[in-house]
Amino acid sequence: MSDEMELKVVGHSQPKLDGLALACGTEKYVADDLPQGTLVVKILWSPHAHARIVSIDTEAASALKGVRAVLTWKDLPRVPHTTAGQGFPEPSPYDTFTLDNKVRFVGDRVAAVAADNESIAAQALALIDVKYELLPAILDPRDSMERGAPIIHDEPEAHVVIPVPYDPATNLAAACQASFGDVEKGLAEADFVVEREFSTHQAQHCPMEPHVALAWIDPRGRLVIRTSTQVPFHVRRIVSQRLQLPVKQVRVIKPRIGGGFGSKQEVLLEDLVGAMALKTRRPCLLELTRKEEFISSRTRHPQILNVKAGVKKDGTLTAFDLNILMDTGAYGSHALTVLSNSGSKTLPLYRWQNVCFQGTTVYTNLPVGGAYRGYGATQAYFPLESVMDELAEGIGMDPIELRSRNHIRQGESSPIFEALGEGRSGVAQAVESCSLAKCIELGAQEIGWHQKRGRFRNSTAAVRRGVGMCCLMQGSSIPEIDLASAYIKMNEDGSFNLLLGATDLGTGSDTIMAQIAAEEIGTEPSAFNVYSSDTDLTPFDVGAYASSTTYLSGQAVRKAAAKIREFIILVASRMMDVPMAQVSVAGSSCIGPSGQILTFAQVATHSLYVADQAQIQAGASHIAHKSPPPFAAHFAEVEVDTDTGEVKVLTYVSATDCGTAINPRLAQGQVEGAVLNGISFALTEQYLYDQRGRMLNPDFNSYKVFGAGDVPDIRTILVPSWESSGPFGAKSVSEIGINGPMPAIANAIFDAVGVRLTRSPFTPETILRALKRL
Amino acid sequence: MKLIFTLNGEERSCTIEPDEKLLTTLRNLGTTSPKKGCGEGACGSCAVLLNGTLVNSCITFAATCSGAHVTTVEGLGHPNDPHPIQEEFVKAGAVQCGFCTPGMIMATKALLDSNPDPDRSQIMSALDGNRCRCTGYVKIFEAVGNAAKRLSTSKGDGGKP
Amino acid sequence: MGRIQSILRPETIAEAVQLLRQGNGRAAVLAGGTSLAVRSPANVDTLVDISALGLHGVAGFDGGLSIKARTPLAHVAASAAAQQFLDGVIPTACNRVASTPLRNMITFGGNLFQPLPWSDLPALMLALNADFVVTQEQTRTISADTLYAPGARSIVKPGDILTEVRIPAPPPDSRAVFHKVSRTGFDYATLDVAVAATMAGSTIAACRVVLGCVRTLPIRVAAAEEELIGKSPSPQLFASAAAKAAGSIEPAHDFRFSQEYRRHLIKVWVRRALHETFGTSEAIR
Repeated sequence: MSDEMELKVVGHSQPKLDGLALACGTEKYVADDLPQGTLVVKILWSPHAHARIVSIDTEAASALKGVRAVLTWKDLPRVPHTTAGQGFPEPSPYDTFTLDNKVRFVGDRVAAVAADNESIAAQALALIDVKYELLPAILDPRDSMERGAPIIHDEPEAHVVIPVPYDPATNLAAACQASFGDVEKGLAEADFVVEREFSTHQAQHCPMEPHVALAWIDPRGRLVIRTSTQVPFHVRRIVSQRLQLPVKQVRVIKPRIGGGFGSKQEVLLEDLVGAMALKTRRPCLLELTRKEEFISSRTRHPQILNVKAGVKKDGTLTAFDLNILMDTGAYGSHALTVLSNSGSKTLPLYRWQNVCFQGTTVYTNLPVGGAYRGYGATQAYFPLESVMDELAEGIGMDPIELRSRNHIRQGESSPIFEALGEGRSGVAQAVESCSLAKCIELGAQEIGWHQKRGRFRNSTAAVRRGVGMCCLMQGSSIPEIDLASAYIKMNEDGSFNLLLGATDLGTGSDTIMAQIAAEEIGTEPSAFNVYSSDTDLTPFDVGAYASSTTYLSGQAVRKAAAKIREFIILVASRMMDVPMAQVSVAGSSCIGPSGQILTFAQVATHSLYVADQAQIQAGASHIAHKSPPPFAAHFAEVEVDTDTGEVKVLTYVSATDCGTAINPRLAQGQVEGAVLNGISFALTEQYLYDQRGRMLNPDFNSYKVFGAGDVPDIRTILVPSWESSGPFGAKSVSEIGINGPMPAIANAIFDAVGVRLTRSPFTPETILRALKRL
Repeated sequence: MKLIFTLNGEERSCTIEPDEKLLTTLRNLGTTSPKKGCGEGACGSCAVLLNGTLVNSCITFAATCSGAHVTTVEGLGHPNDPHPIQEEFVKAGAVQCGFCTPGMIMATKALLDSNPDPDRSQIMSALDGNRCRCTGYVKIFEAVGNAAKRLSTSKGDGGKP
Repeated sequence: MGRIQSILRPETIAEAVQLLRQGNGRAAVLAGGTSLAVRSPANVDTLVDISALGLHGVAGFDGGLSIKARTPLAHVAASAAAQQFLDGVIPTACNRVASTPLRNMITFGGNLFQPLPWSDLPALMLALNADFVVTQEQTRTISADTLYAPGARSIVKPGDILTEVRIPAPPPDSRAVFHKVSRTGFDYATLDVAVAATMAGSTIAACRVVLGCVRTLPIRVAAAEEELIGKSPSPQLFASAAAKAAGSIEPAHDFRFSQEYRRHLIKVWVRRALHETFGTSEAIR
């Protein structure tokens, strides 16, 4: 591997810079720091899945003592937009209004009040008198495009701003396709063919902090919004669009936030709370309850995936045909890009001779899909890796062997990289870094694959065990589209302020950015004050999504740091009166040709006060020209109780190639959190609805997420590789881990009890039915 | 009505609504480490020690806390003088977004106060009411184990109790 | 949801009873408060905090077990007396309820007296035929059979305060088992099964088989009990008793699961509970 060097700071498990403050409770989240006189904003939600608002009478609500404002669709300009936090022009349809005269799912917005306290706000909501004209509702995506289906977005304003498929008259929210070769021919040439329909279900991110935003008008009349967001700059742009304010008049700040996982890659509350602040001239706080978080924020898009795949006896993968029907719910945020990612992040993994991918996203009158860690790949890895297992069985080959023979390798490419982008065409790339083979080897060893696989095939015991595995890839940032930038300035004591737009949602990105900058400059991470995600004070960054923070934003930081290093050397060289080329940097000092040493403090003080005064500062921007995939191999050992249908994960091993792990402990933490989320998604989480489209289980007591008492033995291996286009060899790590559990567990269940599951979640009832015990 | 109680060692006096929950009272007093994650005792983000016992403050009526001793992470330590449990959480990588962390640390304190040498299953059980969506709990269990070792070896040499 | 206007903290039982009666249906007992804090009945505006009434403690008596009503589940589970009683079946059950902080708040009496459909302990108390000591002006004892009989709402009168739960000394060669089925550890039950039995030599002299969280109240499975009594334990017997249980109880509708699945679980878990009950090598006094 070229360009490797001895790294002093990168590659070390530096504790998070904000860790101690978080553990001591001194860091502030949005709702922890409220100006005096903050009003509470509450939203009236629709009880109907599909209805027009015929009339809405807010007189009694407005007259209630302590109510400061009531807003309905009549009070706001009608600006169609997308809530999706994506770069402009967004690939998601502009089909949403801050408040509309139509409701499209149970939990859609009807009106909002701002009041002195929560109790008065709740009373005011109850006084709003709404008359609805009920409309027939679509609760199944297979009904959405049927002839005569009700049109969910019949408003004339719904449109797309880039040329992508969109036809609201048929409830089509998005479509995409990519293919190469001839799948029918490939299937005909195969010795063994698998054809199955799979489905994945709706789930919620369950960040421990629900969505929350605080807005106020500053002394000069600007709108300031402090919000729990992954995308502060998109928030600024979209709020200014929706409230018809110049961007200059809006400031967005992200403080500490309590998790996101994609749910906060969305401009969900900020327009409304901003409108309230403008109307009342008071600070306004809008905080979703947990129930509202489940119903009225965002979810993982459910998908129905039809697969046909073929393999020859010698393990050649001849064809893969994937057809997806995705349900975006009532609004189309991320409707195209989650769909296209289902193909773009899965199809390049193996060398298929012929591929055909088609996908359609439709509207239904259900809670809305959005960005959720994995972003379409999570859904598609279930059929891909289940089918790989079945193909292997079909030709009598070990499932690891089939994958090992066919996975993409260093130096190879796939036509899919160019064919599938994010609303525009993709970017061709060859894989520079890939240690997947090593991941497979180490993971198999750790779980005891060869000792355990197949042990219970002939067993009739009630409780049986099995092992299953899968391979994965994801991406690192959105090439040619997403922008990151960073700025560094030096203080007289040799410390630095690092200002960057990149968004730390608890991932520790502030910390790893300090590590990257410290490594590049030749100092310690503790020398940095990191300040991020304030649209006034920090330079632009698209935000935390598409696994881009380390790879993209980190490289912007490295570039800025490189300029700082050069500036420091310039000043030192003048102080020493030697050529720049003779000055080196190490350990927060500059060293001259005859061994003279100047500390960073001396250099900075000189530059600020003494001669040739200048602020040592630099900024840099970065866009990526490829999206180098991280890779992983996951292995699950399960125990299945065939009497009760219960599946218990005993051990879960992941081996991940994220290039260089800038901070190994934080990288492991990303994988571990993603893995447990994936396990819980596979086994226990699900949205349950009544026949009118109302969610029945919007709380932690009835929507089951794995808790501390449920954690299996999770073992995490990081397998290095070197990606020269990333900072110090790094790729991404934040999403890939969540995609493994569903296929690995499904494959392990097959090993244990011989049934192939095609519908998630794998509840006890699902297992019993598959075993024909029910 | 008036409520007088001890918060992190200091006597506090405030006016509360009859149905007010302890979580609201604490946050109104500026002690914002206990968080509202669900409002119904199902997530543990609000967990505090009430007379040394771990409870969900979002479902504790403040009116029942007259004369009680309440402890939150602010009372355990400060970034300039942290408690060993707080330090071990940070060192282990057990703090990601940090929203669950105060409740998690109070659950750890409650555990180690009564069981200084817990095994893994006891740790899992003691934390079973504190939800974390970021970490997968792996580093949290490691942190608790490390804190237990550290607190038991530092006994008698003036370490924090 | 009701809006609480006042929380009162009497220092004697007599005072507490008076406050409840004065409330005229608008006053309710506040024990652990974990349900009332989330959802109080529409008509309730006054809570009577019973924490100062000394209703706290677990002790053995004449081979039986007495648990004061306001004892938190965590204390019951930790008490030596409860751990030694019937092989610790009561602590086993307590430790399956909710989560650690909630077990510090939920009281033994609160989980049992006027229980909610998801309360776990009633099934076990019905299996043990516990006695509930209730006080108003006078003290009376209500058996679990009576308290949990369908339509038993009128047994508990406004002003009643549960002070103690007493589980009588089990006859020699008795054993009891409790199992909660749930999706994750911290969860409402999919199903609770409680079995209590007494042997006479090698035959089953007495047996209660109780299901919890399948109806609003725990329910004894008479068909299974009849199948078992007077017979010798055997796998075939357990299977047939379990089949009868599944056939005779119609689970109440639960949006989380199908009826079919819950009936299947009844069959599986009654059988397993019976194996566990009679598989112990030694009766516990």
